[in-house]
Amino acid sequence: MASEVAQAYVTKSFLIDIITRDIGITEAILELVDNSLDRAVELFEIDVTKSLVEDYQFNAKLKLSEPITVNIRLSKNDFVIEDNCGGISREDLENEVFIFGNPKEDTNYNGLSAFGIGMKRAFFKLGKKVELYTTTEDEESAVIWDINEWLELGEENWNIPFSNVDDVSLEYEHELPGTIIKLEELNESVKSRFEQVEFINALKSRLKIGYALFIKSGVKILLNGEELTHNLPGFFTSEEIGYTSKKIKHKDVEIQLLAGISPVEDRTPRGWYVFCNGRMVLEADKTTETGWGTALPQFHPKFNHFLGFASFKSKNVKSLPWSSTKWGVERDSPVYLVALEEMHLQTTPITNVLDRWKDSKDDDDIPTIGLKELLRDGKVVSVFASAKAEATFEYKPKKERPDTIRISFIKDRSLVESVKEALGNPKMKNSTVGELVFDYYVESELG
Amino acid sequence: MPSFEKIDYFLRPSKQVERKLIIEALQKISKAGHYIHEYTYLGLGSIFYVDFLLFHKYLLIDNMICAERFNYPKRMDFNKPYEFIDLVMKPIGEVIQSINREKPYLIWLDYDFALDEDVLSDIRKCLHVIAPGSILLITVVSDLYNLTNLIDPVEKKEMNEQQQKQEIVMKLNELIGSHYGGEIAIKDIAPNRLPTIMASALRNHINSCISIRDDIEFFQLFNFEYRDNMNMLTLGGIVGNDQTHKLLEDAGIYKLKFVTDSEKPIEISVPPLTVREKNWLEKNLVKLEQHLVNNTDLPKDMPFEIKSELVKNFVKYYRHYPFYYETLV
Repeated sequence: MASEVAQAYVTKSFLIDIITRDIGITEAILELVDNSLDRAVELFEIDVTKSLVEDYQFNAKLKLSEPITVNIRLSKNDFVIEDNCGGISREDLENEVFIFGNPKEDTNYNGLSAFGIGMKRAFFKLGKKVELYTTTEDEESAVIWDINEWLELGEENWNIPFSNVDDVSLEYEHELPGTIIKLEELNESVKSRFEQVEFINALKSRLKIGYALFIKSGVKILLNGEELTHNLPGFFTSEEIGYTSKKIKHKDVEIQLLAGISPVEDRTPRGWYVFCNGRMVLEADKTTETGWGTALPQFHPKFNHFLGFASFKSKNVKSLPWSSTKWGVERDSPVYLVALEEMHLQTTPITNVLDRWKDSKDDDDIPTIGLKELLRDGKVVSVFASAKAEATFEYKPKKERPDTIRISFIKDRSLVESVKEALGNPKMKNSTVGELVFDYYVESELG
Repeated sequence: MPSFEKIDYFLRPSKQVERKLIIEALQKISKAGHYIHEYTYLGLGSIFYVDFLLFHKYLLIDNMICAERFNYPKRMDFNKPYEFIDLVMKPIGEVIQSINREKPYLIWLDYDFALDEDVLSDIRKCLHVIAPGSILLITVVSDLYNLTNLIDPVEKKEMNEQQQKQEIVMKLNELIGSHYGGEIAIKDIAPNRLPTIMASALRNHINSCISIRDDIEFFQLFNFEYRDNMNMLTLGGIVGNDQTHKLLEDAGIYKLKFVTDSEKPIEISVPPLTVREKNWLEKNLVKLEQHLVNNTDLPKDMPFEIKSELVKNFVKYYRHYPFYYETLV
């Protein structure tokens, strides 16, 4: 007899395929770091976005017995991430952590767990066997999850049983409670990447930049034993040049913008750094994502010294404009559109100055003083120590702009030679030809 | 070159008519309880500060900011008619970021050049920051001659007139095509079409910028085209919510003949006239008006040569027509 309903459901293998498709190995690892830090942020009420405008060190304030640490070790055989961020409660493990797409409702902290899918898809991306041990102040739990076996259970049973804490091979070594996760039977593509020095270096850079504000605020992040440092650029300031600091609010999201000019010895092309709850989601962006080439002019080497930070903070993580992989922004989210307008507003005075002071030989505006000179007599202020809450980029040149400008152009050689002859001196300097021709125009056309 | 070096700002009768029409509309809004005198005026005064003088005298605005991008601070300061005008020697685009976002502004982006990236950018900035109730006016040159500035001057030398037009159309499409909402064609840059195209692009740009804000809409009030020495276009309106719109309706704003929410500009060009001509026209207003209802041509017994279009506009705007005398001071 024909059924009265058409079957409709999601298969496990489809889900795994689809949720791991648009995430890279690096992003998957960062998802696990986000999970660790999310718990620390909740438990200790940490707000690393403060470190953009003040010298914020939460360890000292909280008087913890050891620094908050996330320790990552990886080899071709396994991947281990260990944190002392407070651990996961049994209740959360039972009712939340392993559910697909179950972001926390009504959180009251600036969390990093946005979509309720990060940890699971990181597991699927990396390996086939997961061991997890976690301890809180008053309980400990363990899970051993063989993903192949779980697939074989079919589509009816999605549950993951708890294990006996003595059955896991993991040794937790921190004073503060936390979690240790080990992935084994790594996927083939992952194994080969973990053996490449280039991959390890790229992962290191991404961790350093992605968690720069956390590292700066006192979080220790280790990769294969090496403690990572942050490397955020600072602003150049002087009597002539300042920076912008602006805070706006859109519904439940606070947006802090800082923008200015980076020092001359810093030759790295700059752009916008974008953070969501302290986690960096765009690094030195010079694309349409941050308005270049749309509201702002196309990014050009003359803007290399433009430096901007846009920090979004909200207790409602779903309002933040991060993309689902948390590397990139959701360009059309209302809060991001508002922020883009503010970024545009605050950026143009800076690009206008850089435009005027472009540091090139063909500078046709102010030939004698280039950007180098402008950026010589000031100091580099790490605004992250003591940025003003409200400041407007000002450019107050001490020197008057010279009243002369240089014009240079290219013309056909033989034509120039003919003009020289007509002017009566074939050995005349090319620049003199230009001047005489210009003067001739002024005299005959302007009177 | 600043445009005041080309023409005396006072001697632009159509521009003056425009200023007076705007003042009349804003006075009406004030009377309905939306007090324009509490606004801050941000404008481009040039050395004549004409709009500052008028807006202070007739709209009673005391808070005034004048932005000036050319570098002659002493001359600007010397000519400042009132101490309370805050003179800022910066392009207006760099002044917008420091306006108070809680208070209503009257902003006039009164450019003496054609629509370009900077104009669009300044509009965008204004709409991002202005408080509900604020009024935004934008004036641009809508002359084909000025649009040739869009073409690379070196390339321009090699082009004939038709090629230049094609190039302008291409550049215009790049600049405002997405705002205009369709392909701009050669026929659209004809003098009778161009102002509508510009107005339409400005309207769409304004609406797309304002859509990002959830607290306000743009209610267009003005869409003028006029010509003194160049074709000009002014588009303007008030930003606000449903209540603002109701207030405008209650104030009878939309009953004013020169107020429009259409994309088709209202022509307000008036002719330069001698005293005798002006007096004659005024004396014969009623007769002329009646004649023009039924005829496109002027009466045969006109004592001087003048275009019927301009007489039509004079009949409409004679109350706002300025008159200039040379005075020995």
